[in-house]
Amino acid sequence: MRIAFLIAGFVCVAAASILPASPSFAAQDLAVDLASDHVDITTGFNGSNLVLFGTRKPGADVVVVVEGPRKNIAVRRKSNVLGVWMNTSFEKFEDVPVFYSHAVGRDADKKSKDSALVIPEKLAEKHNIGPKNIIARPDDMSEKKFETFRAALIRTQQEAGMFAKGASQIDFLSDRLFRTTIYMPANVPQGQYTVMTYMVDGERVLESAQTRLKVEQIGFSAQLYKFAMSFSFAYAALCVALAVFAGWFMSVVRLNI
Amino acid sequence: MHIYLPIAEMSVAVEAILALGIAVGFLSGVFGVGGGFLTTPLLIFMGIPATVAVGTQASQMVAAGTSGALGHWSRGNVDYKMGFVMLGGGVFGSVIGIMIFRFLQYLGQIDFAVSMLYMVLLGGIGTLMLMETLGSFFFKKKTFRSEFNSFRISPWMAALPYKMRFPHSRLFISALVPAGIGFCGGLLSAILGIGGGFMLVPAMIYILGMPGLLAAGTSLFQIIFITAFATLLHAVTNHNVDIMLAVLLIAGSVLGTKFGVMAGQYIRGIYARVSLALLIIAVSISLAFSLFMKPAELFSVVLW
Repeated sequence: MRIAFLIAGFVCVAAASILPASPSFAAQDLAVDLASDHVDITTGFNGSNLVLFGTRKPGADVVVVVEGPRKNIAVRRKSNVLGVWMNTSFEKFEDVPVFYSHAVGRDADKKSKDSALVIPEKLAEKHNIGPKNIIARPDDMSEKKFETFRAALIRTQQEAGMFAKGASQIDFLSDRLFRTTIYMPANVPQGQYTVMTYMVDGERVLESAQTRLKVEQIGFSAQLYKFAMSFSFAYAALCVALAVFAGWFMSVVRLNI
Repeated sequence: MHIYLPIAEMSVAVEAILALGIAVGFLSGVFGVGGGFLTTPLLIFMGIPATVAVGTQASQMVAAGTSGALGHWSRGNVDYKMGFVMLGGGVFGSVIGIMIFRFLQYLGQIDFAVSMLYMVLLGGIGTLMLMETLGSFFFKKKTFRSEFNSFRISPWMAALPYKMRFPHSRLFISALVPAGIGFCGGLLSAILGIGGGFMLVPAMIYILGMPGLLAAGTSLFQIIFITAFATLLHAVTNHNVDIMLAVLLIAGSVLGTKFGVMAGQYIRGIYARVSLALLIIAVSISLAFSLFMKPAELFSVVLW
């Protein structure tokens, strides 16, 4: 029996060493990893750069999408009421990422034809790449209204630094190796993010890979946040006590001049 | 230097917040006002979410109120009985105020309501202050009521039930009136994140007929409790009090108060009052611009 197992084991190992050459294992052309799978928000946090490394099949284009925490978002519109500008209408969008950024790398020899950072329209639509394609139209919203409010959503999120304006660049370090840096601003929301990497040939996705990323407060500021959320009464009492003490101190300062 | 605010979930420049605290502290040192009417709009302008600005501002007002009230208390300018009656109305007012705040938030009208209320209140009070100060300067008219209460209570007020004696203020009036004033103060402090001293003191002088200094001391005394209560309500229901932001603001205002009091000794009262009135009017006008001018961006985004 033992010998039978041993032989079976040998066969497996042998098979594994041969298989990578066979077509079914082509999936290993694309491999990516983040330099760090979490962004830590500390007290001194002022934005950070997310670094992603990967390997690709030589000649293929690469698109990297970073998006995160998906929330329901309302877009409000102001209009003039009796001379005053106030919010008068709003539209709700479900399951929209609060943060969105993508990077594009076109192979060097194709660059001369069109701009390096443009993704073919069909590809973008099919795989929901780019801010325009990540927002789904609610069933009860007319096409025209959707266009207006979607454009407004993208514009305001871009102004707030939550959606990147245009794609960033992916650098090809060698035939296979690539690297990209995506900026996360200081007001980046906490939560779960996904990083999707597509290896692309023209309008066709050859392979894709998904990585997860966690953005959260750590250290002192995280403890403060947790304390404020779970013991809100004690937290409030602390705030008040601190303020009363400061007020007393202020009056001492005032009287001693 | 940047610091991350754990509740506001954003990073701010420490210098900017400190400078704001110093400026507001300076004003309160010179003029004896809380300065909340400036802090909230400026915090919002700096990109702090309106809800966090209002909630945190409430805790800063606790500090400003305590320091002011201690000064008046040492000179015997607090009518405790009056303060507690007003507080009764004020607690009720802040609970209603928080409910209105949440409802306006739900409607998406909180920013509009806050700006509108500020514009009307500050515009009205600034104009009144300017007129009174200039009037007293040019016509030497005695505008502040004397310490002895020669104030005539209007007949409808005299007809109200639950009459109460307030020995310290030398008043015998219905408890409903100070409670009502306290109610309005509580409402304002919950919605606007201010102490409301600039509303309460004139109301106590002109409606109740209290002497000016006693009105100031008593209003500060009850503002401590109202703003503390508002802080508590905000922190528990909305989680919008940022202790880091509060500490920075308070630290700045302690510094600013020191300079303000020093500067106040060299500024003549009339100039101080005129410049405060002009400042209040300026804030009101800038708010009016934001309401009446077509904004550059008509759309805004909120998490739903």
